[in-house]
Amino acid sequence: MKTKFGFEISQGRQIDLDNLDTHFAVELSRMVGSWQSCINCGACAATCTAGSYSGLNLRKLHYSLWKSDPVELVSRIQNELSSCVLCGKCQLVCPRGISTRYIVINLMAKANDNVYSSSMV
Amino acid sequence: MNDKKVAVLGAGPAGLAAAITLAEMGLAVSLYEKSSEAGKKIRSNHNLFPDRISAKEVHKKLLKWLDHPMIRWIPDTQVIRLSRVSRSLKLETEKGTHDEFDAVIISTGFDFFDARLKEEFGFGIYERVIDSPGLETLFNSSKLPLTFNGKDPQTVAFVHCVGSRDSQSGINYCSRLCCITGIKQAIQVKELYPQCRVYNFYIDLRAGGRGYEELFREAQEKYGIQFIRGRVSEAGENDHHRIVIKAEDTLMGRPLKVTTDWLVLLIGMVPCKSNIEFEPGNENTTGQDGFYQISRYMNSNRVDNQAGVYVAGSCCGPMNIPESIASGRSAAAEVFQYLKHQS
Repeated sequence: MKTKFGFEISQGRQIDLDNLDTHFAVELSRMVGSWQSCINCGACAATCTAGSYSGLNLRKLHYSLWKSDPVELVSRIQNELSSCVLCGKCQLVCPRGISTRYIVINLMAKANDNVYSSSMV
Repeated sequence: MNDKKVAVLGAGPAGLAAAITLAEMGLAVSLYEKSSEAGKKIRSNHNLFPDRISAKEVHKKLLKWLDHPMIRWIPDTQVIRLSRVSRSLKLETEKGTHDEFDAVIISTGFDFFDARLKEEFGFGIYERVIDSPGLETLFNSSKLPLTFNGKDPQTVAFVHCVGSRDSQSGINYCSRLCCITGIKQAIQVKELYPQCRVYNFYIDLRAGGRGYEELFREAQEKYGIQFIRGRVSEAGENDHHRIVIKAEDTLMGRPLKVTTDWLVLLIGMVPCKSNIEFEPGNENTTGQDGFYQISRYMNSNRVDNQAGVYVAGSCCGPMNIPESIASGRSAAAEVFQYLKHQS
Protein backbone atom coordinates (compact mmCIF):
# COMPACT_ATOMS: atom_id res chain seq x y z
CA MET A 1 0.00 0.00 0.00
CA LYS A 2 1.26 3.42 -0.89
CA THR A 3 1.35 5.80 2.04
CA LYS A 4 1.77 9.48 1.79
CA PHE A 5 4.69 10.56 3.81
CA GLY A 6 6.66 13.75 4.19
CA PHE A 7 6.11 16.90 2.24
CA GLU A 8 4.35 17.33 -1.00
CA ILE A 9 5.29 20.28 -3.10
CA SER A 10 2.26 22.20 -4.16
CA GLN A 11 2.19 24.32 -7.25
CA GLY A 12 3.85 27.64 -6.59
CA ARG A 13 1.58 30.55 -5.86
CA GLN A 14 4.39 33.01 -6.15
CA ILE A 15 4.23 35.60 -8.92
CA ASP A 16 7.58 35.39 -10.69
CA LEU A 17 8.02 38.72 -12.43
CA ASP A 18 11.33 37.57 -13.92
CA ASN A 19 9.66 34.94 -16.09
CA LEU A 20 6.35 36.50 -16.88
CA ASP A 21 5.05 37.09 -20.37
CA THR A 22 3.55 40.58 -20.28
CA HIS A 23 3.57 41.28 -24.00
CA PHE A 24 -0.23 41.11 -24.21
CA ALA A 25 -0.58 43.62 -21.37
CA VAL A 26 1.99 45.86 -23.02
CA GLU A 27 0.22 45.53 -26.36
CA LEU A 28 -3.10 46.49 -24.78
CA SER A 29 -1.62 49.47 -23.04
CA ARG A 30 -0.21 50.62 -26.33
CA MET A 31 -3.70 50.56 -27.77
CA VAL A 32 -5.38 52.12 -24.74
CA GLY A 33 -2.85 54.57 -23.36
CA SER A 34 -4.85 55.42 -20.28
CA TRP A 35 -5.12 51.77 -19.34
CA GLN A 36 -1.94 51.84 -17.35
CA SER A 37 -3.19 54.70 -15.23
CA CYS A 38 -5.55 52.42 -13.27
CA ILE A 39 -5.44 53.14 -9.55
CA ASN A 40 -7.31 49.99 -8.51
CA CYS A 41 -10.21 51.92 -7.02
CA GLY A 42 -12.69 49.19 -8.03
CA ALA A 43 -15.44 51.49 -9.29
CA CYS A 44 -15.68 49.48 -12.52
CA ALA A 45 -16.24 46.24 -10.64
CA ALA A 46 -18.70 47.85 -8.24
CA THR A 47 -20.92 49.21 -10.96
CA CYS A 48 -20.83 46.11 -13.14
CA THR A 49 -24.24 44.45 -13.49
CA ALA A 50 -22.78 41.24 -14.89
CA GLY A 51 -20.30 41.14 -12.05
CA SER A 52 -23.03 40.61 -9.48
CA TYR A 53 -23.96 37.34 -11.20
CA SER A 54 -20.88 35.97 -12.86
CA GLY A 55 -17.96 37.08 -10.78
CA LEU A 56 -16.56 39.24 -13.56
CA ASN A 57 -14.28 41.78 -11.93
CA LEU A 58 -12.62 44.22 -14.26
CA ARG A 59 -10.30 45.69 -11.66
CA LYS A 60 -8.93 42.30 -10.76
CA LEU A 61 -8.75 41.34 -14.38
CA HIS A 62 -6.81 44.43 -15.28
CA TYR A 63 -4.36 43.97 -12.46
CA SER A 64 -4.01 40.23 -13.09
CA LEU A 65 -3.00 40.79 -16.68
CA TRP A 66 0.30 42.24 -15.51
CA LYS A 67 0.82 39.44 -13.02
CA SER A 68 -0.28 36.26 -14.80
CA ASP A 69 0.19 34.34 -17.99
CA PRO A 70 -2.36 35.94 -20.37
CA VAL A 71 -3.34 32.72 -22.16
CA GLU A 72 -3.93 30.93 -18.90
CA LEU A 73 -5.75 33.92 -17.45
CA VAL A 74 -8.06 34.47 -20.39
CA SER A 75 -9.02 30.81 -20.58
CA ARG A 76 -9.77 30.83 -16.86
CA ILE A 77 -12.08 33.83 -17.05
CA GLN A 78 -13.74 32.99 -20.34
CA ASN A 79 -17.15 32.31 -18.78
CA GLU A 80 -17.09 35.44 -16.67
CA LEU A 81 -16.01 37.46 -19.64
CA SER A 82 -18.88 36.22 -21.76
CA SER A 83 -21.33 37.63 -19.21
CA CYS A 84 -20.27 41.17 -20.11
CA VAL A 85 -22.87 42.87 -22.31
CA LEU A 86 -20.58 45.81 -23.11
CA CYS A 87 -22.99 48.24 -21.50
CA GLY A 88 -20.12 50.60 -20.76
CA LYS A 89 -21.05 51.57 -17.20
CA CYS A 90 -17.53 50.69 -16.10
CA GLN A 91 -16.17 53.25 -18.50
CA LEU A 92 -18.59 55.92 -17.27
CA VAL A 93 -17.52 55.59 -13.64
CA CYS A 94 -13.77 55.23 -14.21
CA PRO A 95 -11.99 58.19 -12.55
CA ARG A 96 -9.07 57.79 -14.93
CA GLY A 97 -11.33 57.68 -17.99
CA ILE A 98 -9.99 54.32 -19.13
CA SER A 99 -11.65 52.80 -22.15
CA THR A 100 -12.57 49.66 -20.27
CA ARG A 101 -14.93 48.39 -22.96
CA TYR A 102 -12.12 48.33 -25.44
CA ILE A 103 -10.13 46.23 -23.01
CA VAL A 104 -13.01 43.78 -22.59
CA ILE A 105 -13.52 43.53 -26.33
CA ASN A 106 -9.88 42.73 -26.83
CA LEU A 107 -9.92 40.18 -24.08
CA MET A 108 -12.98 38.57 -25.61
CA ALA A 109 -11.21 38.52 -28.91
CA LYS A 110 -8.27 36.84 -27.30
CA ALA A 111 -10.56 34.38 -25.55
CA ASN A 112 -12.46 33.48 -28.69
CA ASP A 113 -9.25 33.56 -30.63
CA ASN A 114 -10.90 35.51 -33.36
CA VAL A 115 -10.38 39.04 -34.44
CA TYR A 116 -12.82 41.71 -33.42
CA SER A 117 -12.41 44.76 -35.50
CA SER A 118 -11.54 47.81 -33.53
CA SER A 119 -14.29 49.69 -35.39
CA MET A 120 -16.71 48.09 -32.93
CA VAL A 121 -15.64 50.49 -30.22
CA MET B 1 13.44 98.61 16.22
CA ASN B 2 16.51 98.81 13.99
CA ASP B 3 18.87 98.02 16.83
CA LYS B 4 17.26 94.59 17.24
CA LYS B 5 19.27 91.49 16.45
CA VAL B 6 17.86 88.22 15.17
CA ALA B 7 19.57 84.86 14.81
CA VAL B 8 18.54 82.27 12.25
CA LEU B 9 19.85 78.76 12.84
CA GLY B 10 20.32 76.71 9.72
CA ALA B 11 20.70 77.92 6.13
CA GLY B 12 18.35 75.68 4.21
CA PRO B 13 15.41 77.07 2.26
CA ALA B 14 13.48 78.04 5.42
CA GLY B 15 16.46 79.72 7.09
CA LEU B 16 17.50 81.57 3.95
CA ALA B 17 13.93 82.78 3.38
CA ALA B 18 13.62 83.90 7.00
CA ALA B 19 16.98 85.69 6.84
CA ILE B 20 16.27 87.60 3.63
CA THR B 21 12.80 88.62 4.83
CA LEU B 22 14.17 90.01 8.09
CA ALA B 23 17.10 91.66 6.34
CA GLU B 24 14.75 93.39 3.90
CA MET B 25 12.82 94.65 6.93
CA GLY B 26 16.00 96.33 8.07
CA LEU B 27 16.89 93.98 10.89
CA ALA B 28 20.38 92.67 11.53
CA VAL B 29 20.39 88.92 10.95
CA SER B 30 23.04 86.41 11.98
CA LEU B 31 22.66 83.27 9.90
CA TYR B 32 24.33 80.26 11.50
CA GLU B 33 25.02 77.10 9.53
CA LYS B 34 26.69 73.94 10.85
CA SER B 35 28.15 72.96 7.49
CA SER B 36 30.33 75.09 5.25
CA GLU B 37 27.66 75.94 2.70
CA ALA B 38 24.03 77.00 2.49
CA GLY B 39 21.32 74.88 0.88
CA LYS B 40 23.51 71.79 0.73
CA LYS B 41 20.64 69.27 0.65
CA ILE B 42 19.00 71.05 -2.27
CA ARG B 43 22.25 71.19 -4.19
CA SER B 44 22.77 67.44 -3.77
CA ASN B 45 19.66 66.76 -5.83
CA HIS B 46 19.65 66.44 -9.59
CA ASN B 47 16.23 67.89 -10.32
CA LEU B 48 13.19 68.65 -8.20
CA PHE B 49 9.61 67.41 -8.24
CA PRO B 50 7.02 68.08 -9.54
CA ASP B 51 8.24 70.26 -12.44
CA ARG B 52 11.67 68.63 -12.58
CA ILE B 53 13.43 71.98 -12.46
CA SER B 54 17.20 71.78 -12.07
CA ALA B 55 18.20 71.70 -8.40
CA LYS B 56 21.29 73.77 -9.22
CA GLU B 57 19.13 76.60 -10.58
CA VAL B 58 16.94 76.66 -7.48
CA HIS B 59 20.03 76.53 -5.28
CA LYS B 60 21.61 79.42 -7.14
CA LYS B 61 18.51 81.58 -6.63
CA LEU B 62 18.42 80.84 -2.89
CA LEU B 63 22.12 81.60 -2.48
CA LYS B 64 21.64 85.10 -3.91
CA TRP B 65 19.81 85.99 -0.70
CA LEU B 66 23.04 85.49 1.22
CA ASP B 67 24.54 88.58 -0.41
CA HIS B 68 22.29 90.96 1.52
CA PRO B 69 24.40 93.38 3.61
CA MET B 70 22.17 92.96 6.67
CA ILE B 71 22.89 89.21 6.80
CA ARG B 72 25.95 88.11 8.74
CA TRP B 73 26.88 84.70 7.34
CA ILE B 74 28.35 82.34 9.94
CA PRO B 75 29.18 78.95 8.36
CA ASP B 76 30.82 75.94 10.03
CA THR B 77 29.22 76.92 13.31
CA GLN B 78 26.71 74.83 15.17
CA VAL B 79 24.59 76.37 17.90
CA ILE B 80 24.19 73.94 20.74
CA ARG B 81 22.50 75.84 23.56
CA LEU B 82 19.89 78.53 23.93
CA SER B 83 19.42 80.29 27.26
CA ARG B 84 18.09 83.61 28.57
CA VAL B 85 20.01 86.58 29.92
CA SER B 86 17.48 89.14 31.22
CA ARG B 87 15.43 89.96 28.08
CA SER B 88 17.90 88.55 25.59
CA LEU B 89 18.36 85.11 24.14
CA LYS B 90 21.88 83.79 24.49
CA LEU B 91 23.22 81.35 21.93
CA GLU B 92 26.27 79.19 22.56
CA THR B 93 28.12 77.46 19.74
CA GLU B 94 30.13 74.27 19.86
CA LYS B 95 33.22 76.40 19.29
CA GLY B 96 32.58 77.95 22.69
CA THR B 97 31.61 81.37 21.36
CA HIS B 98 28.35 83.04 22.36
CA ASP B 99 26.22 85.96 21.34
CA GLU B 100 22.95 87.56 22.41
CA PHE B 101 19.84 88.20 20.33
CA ASP B 102 16.33 89.60 20.65
CA ALA B 103 14.72 86.76 18.76
CA VAL B 104 15.75 83.41 17.31
CA ILE B 105 14.39 81.41 14.38
CA ILE B 106 15.28 77.73 14.45
CA SER B 107 15.38 76.30 10.94
CA THR B 108 17.67 73.35 11.43
CA GLY B 109 15.89 71.09 8.95
CA PHE B 110 15.91 67.33 8.95
CA ASP B 111 18.22 64.34 8.62
CA PHE B 112 17.67 61.43 6.28
CA PHE B 113 16.67 58.12 7.79
CA ASP B 114 19.62 55.73 8.00
CA ALA B 115 18.56 52.83 5.76
CA ARG B 116 21.11 50.51 7.40
CA LEU B 117 18.66 50.24 10.28
CA LYS B 118 16.36 48.27 7.97
CA GLU B 119 18.78 45.40 7.54
CA GLU B 120 16.36 43.28 5.53
CA PHE B 121 16.80 45.59 2.53
CA GLY B 122 20.56 45.10 2.46
CA PHE B 123 21.61 48.77 2.33
CA GLY B 124 25.29 49.03 3.19
CA ILE B 125 25.66 45.31 2.47
CA TYR B 126 24.97 45.03 -1.27
CA GLU B 127 26.59 47.43 -3.66
CA ARG B 128 23.53 48.07 -5.75
CA VAL B 129 21.08 48.68 -2.94
CA ILE B 130 21.06 52.46 -2.62
CA ASP B 131 18.91 55.12 -0.98
CA SER B 132 17.06 57.94 -2.74
CA PRO B 133 19.66 60.68 -2.00
CA GLY B 134 22.29 58.21 -3.24
CA LEU B 135 20.44 57.92 -6.53
CA GLU B 136 20.36 61.71 -6.87
CA THR B 137 24.13 61.72 -6.37
CA LEU B 138 24.45 59.11 -9.13
CA PHE B 139 22.23 61.17 -11.44
CA ASN B 140 24.59 64.08 -10.84
CA SER B 141 27.73 62.06 -11.32
CA SER B 142 27.30 60.55 -14.75
CA LYS B 143 25.21 60.44 -17.91
CA LEU B 144 24.59 56.72 -17.54
CA PRO B 145 24.50 56.45 -13.77
CA LEU B 146 23.02 52.95 -13.50
CA THR B 147 25.16 51.27 -16.12
CA PHE B 148 27.12 48.62 -14.28
CA ASN B 149 30.14 46.81 -15.75
CA GLY B 150 29.16 48.15 -19.15
CA LYS B 151 25.63 46.78 -18.92
CA ASP B 152 22.47 48.86 -18.80
CA PRO B 153 20.01 47.85 -16.10
CA GLN B 154 17.12 45.59 -17.13
CA THR B 155 15.18 46.16 -13.96
CA VAL B 156 15.14 48.81 -11.24
CA ALA B 157 12.93 48.58 -8.16
CA PHE B 158 11.97 51.25 -5.66
CA VAL B 159 10.79 50.60 -2.11
CA HIS B 160 8.53 53.25 -0.61
CA CYS B 161 8.20 54.00 3.11
CA VAL B 162 11.70 53.06 4.28
CA GLY B 163 11.84 54.71 7.69
CA SER B 164 8.28 55.99 7.42
CA ARG B 165 5.09 54.63 8.96
CA ASP B 166 7.15 51.92 10.60
CA SER B 167 7.05 51.47 14.34
CA GLN B 168 9.86 48.89 14.00
CA SER B 169 12.16 51.82 13.32
CA GLY B 170 10.35 53.98 15.85
CA ILE B 171 8.92 56.23 13.16
CA ASN B 172 5.14 56.38 13.14
CA TYR B 173 4.60 59.34 10.87
CA CYS B 174 4.46 59.55 7.09
CA SER B 175 7.35 61.53 5.57
CA ARG B 176 4.93 62.44 2.78
CA LEU B 177 7.58 63.46 0.22
CA CYS B 178 9.23 60.11 -0.43
CA CYS B 179 6.32 58.89 -2.62
CA ILE B 180 6.69 61.78 -5.01
CA THR B 181 10.50 61.41 -4.90
CA GLY B 182 10.08 57.76 -5.92
CA ILE B 183 7.74 58.67 -8.75
CA LYS B 184 10.14 61.36 -10.00
CA GLN B 185 13.18 59.12 -9.78
CA ALA B 186 11.38 56.24 -11.50
CA ILE B 187 10.62 58.56 -14.41
CA GLN B 188 14.26 59.63 -14.56
CA VAL B 189 15.37 56.01 -14.73
CA LYS B 190 12.91 55.37 -17.55
CA GLU B 191 14.14 58.43 -19.44
CA LEU B 192 17.72 57.24 -19.20
CA TYR B 193 16.89 53.60 -19.92
CA PRO B 194 13.59 53.28 -21.82
CA GLN B 195 13.92 49.48 -22.04
CA CYS B 196 14.35 49.07 -18.31
CA ARG B 197 11.45 47.69 -16.28
CA VAL B 198 10.74 49.87 -13.28
CA TYR B 199 8.72 48.71 -10.30
CA ASN B 200 7.60 50.84 -7.35
CA PHE B 201 6.58 48.89 -4.26
CA TYR B 202 4.28 50.99 -2.11
CA ILE B 203 1.96 50.62 0.88
CA ASP B 204 -0.23 53.60 0.07
CA LEU B 205 0.74 56.18 -2.49
CA ARG B 206 0.63 59.48 -0.67
CA ALA B 207 1.49 62.08 -3.23
CA GLY B 208 -0.87 64.88 -2.34
CA GLY B 209 0.98 68.03 -3.34
CA ARG B 210 0.20 70.25 -6.26
CA GLY B 211 1.19 68.58 -9.50
CA TYR B 212 2.10 65.33 -7.75
CA GLU B 213 -0.88 63.27 -8.92
CA GLU B 214 -0.28 64.49 -12.45
CA LEU B 215 3.32 63.30 -12.23
CA PHE B 216 2.15 59.94 -10.89
CA ARG B 217 -0.21 59.55 -13.82
CA GLU B 218 2.56 60.46 -16.23
CA ALA B 219 4.70 57.78 -14.63
CA GLN B 220 1.96 55.22 -15.23
CA GLU B 221 0.76 56.24 -18.65
CA LYS B 222 3.72 57.74 -20.42
CA TYR B 223 6.51 55.74 -18.84
CA GLY B 224 4.76 52.46 -18.03
CA ILE B 225 6.15 52.31 -14.54
CA GLN B 226 4.48 49.57 -12.56
CA PHE B 227 3.23 50.34 -9.10
CA ILE B 228 2.88 47.24 -6.97
CA ARG B 229 0.97 47.47 -3.72
CA GLY B 230 2.95 45.60 -1.11
CA ARG B 231 5.95 46.16 1.05
CA VAL B 232 9.19 44.43 0.13
CA SER B 233 9.94 41.96 2.91
CA GLU B 234 13.54 41.16 2.07
CA ALA B 235 16.30 41.63 -0.45
CA GLY B 236 19.26 39.36 -1.15
CA GLU B 237 22.00 39.11 -3.75
CA ASN B 238 22.13 36.18 -6.19
CA ASP B 239 25.20 34.64 -7.83
CA HIS B 240 25.20 37.28 -10.54
CA HIS B 241 25.21 40.12 -8.02
CA ARG B 242 21.66 41.01 -8.85
CA ILE B 243 19.15 41.73 -6.13
CA VAL B 244 16.29 39.30 -5.55
CA ILE B 245 13.37 40.83 -3.73
CA LYS B 246 10.24 39.34 -2.24
CA ALA B 247 6.98 41.05 -1.52
CA GLU B 248 3.32 40.29 -1.16
CA ASP B 249 1.30 41.67 -4.04
CA THR B 250 -1.59 42.66 -1.82
CA LEU B 251 -3.94 43.41 -4.72
CA MET B 252 -3.39 39.92 -6.10
CA GLY B 253 -3.22 38.36 -2.67
CA ARG B 254 -0.15 36.41 -3.73
CA PRO B 255 3.53 36.46 -2.92
CA LEU B 256 5.78 37.93 -5.58
CA LYS B 257 9.42 37.67 -6.54
CA VAL B 258 11.50 39.77 -8.86
CA THR B 259 15.20 40.07 -9.66
CA THR B 260 16.49 43.58 -10.09
CA ASP B 261 19.76 45.29 -10.97
CA TRP B 262 19.25 48.14 -8.56
CA LEU B 263 17.13 48.51 -5.47
CA VAL B 264 16.41 52.08 -4.43
CA LEU B 265 15.16 52.73 -0.90
CA LEU B 266 12.98 55.82 -0.59
CA ILE B 267 14.05 56.95 2.85
CA GLY B 268 12.06 59.23 5.09
CA MET B 269 12.89 62.46 6.88
CA VAL B 270 13.80 62.31 10.56
CA PRO B 271 14.35 65.08 13.12
CA CYS B 272 17.81 66.64 13.11
CA LYS B 273 20.16 64.85 15.48
CA SER B 274 21.67 68.15 16.48
CA ASN B 275 18.61 69.70 18.10
CA ILE B 276 19.36 72.68 20.30
CA GLU B 277 19.39 72.38 24.04
CA PHE B 278 17.04 74.85 25.70
CA GLU B 279 17.79 76.23 29.11
CA PRO B 280 15.91 75.71 31.25
CA GLY B 281 14.53 72.44 29.89
CA ASN B 282 13.45 71.12 26.50
CA GLU B 283 9.98 70.08 27.68
CA ASN B 284 7.26 70.44 25.08
CA THR B 285 9.58 71.98 22.51
CA THR B 286 9.25 68.86 20.35
CA GLY B 287 6.34 66.55 19.61
CA GLN B 288 6.42 62.78 20.11
CA ASP B 289 7.86 62.42 16.63
CA GLY B 290 10.91 64.47 17.66
CA PHE B 291 10.20 67.44 15.38
CA TYR B 292 9.87 70.93 16.86
CA GLN B 293 6.40 71.84 17.95
CA ILE B 294 4.75 75.00 16.69
CA SER B 295 2.08 76.57 18.88
CA ARG B 296 -0.55 74.01 19.71
CA TYR B 297 -3.18 76.55 18.70
CA MET B 298 -1.77 76.32 15.18
CA ASN B 299 -1.76 80.11 14.85
CA SER B 300 1.93 80.75 15.37
CA ASN B 301 5.40 79.46 14.57
CA ARG B 302 6.45 80.24 18.12
CA VAL B 303 7.58 77.43 20.34
CA ASP B 304 5.10 77.26 23.24
CA ASN B 305 6.39 78.90 26.43
CA GLN B 306 9.54 80.11 24.67
CA ALA B 307 9.08 83.84 24.09
CA GLY B 308 11.08 85.05 21.12
CA VAL B 309 11.87 81.56 19.83
CA TYR B 310 10.32 80.56 16.50
CA VAL B 311 10.65 77.48 14.32
CA ALA B 312 10.46 77.23 10.56
CA GLY B 313 10.82 74.65 7.83
CA SER B 314 11.29 70.92 8.06
CA CYS B 315 12.61 70.99 11.62
CA CYS B 316 8.90 71.08 12.50
CA GLY B 317 7.89 68.16 10.29
CA PRO B 318 8.52 66.96 6.75
CA MET B 319 8.15 69.85 4.29
CA ASN B 320 9.01 70.42 0.68
CA ILE B 321 10.96 73.43 -0.58
CA PRO B 322 8.10 75.91 -1.25
CA GLU B 323 6.52 75.00 2.10
CA SER B 324 9.83 75.54 3.87
CA ILE B 325 10.30 78.90 2.21
CA ALA B 326 6.76 79.97 3.12
CA SER B 327 7.33 78.75 6.67
CA GLY B 328 10.60 80.72 6.92
CA ARG B 329 8.98 83.90 5.64
CA SER B 330 6.05 83.43 7.98
CA ALA B 331 8.31 83.00 11.00
CA ALA B 332 10.21 86.13 9.96
CA ALA B 333 6.96 88.14 9.80
CA GLU B 334 6.07 86.92 13.29
CA VAL B 335 9.48 87.90 14.60
CA PHE B 336 8.93 91.38 13.19
CA GLN B 337 5.56 91.62 14.98
CA TYR B 338 7.10 90.35 18.19
CA LEU B 339 9.98 92.83 18.14
CA LYS B 340 7.66 95.71 17.28
CA HIS B 341 5.55 95.06 20.37
CA GLN B 342 8.63 94.53 22.50
CA SER B 343 10.20 97.90 21.77
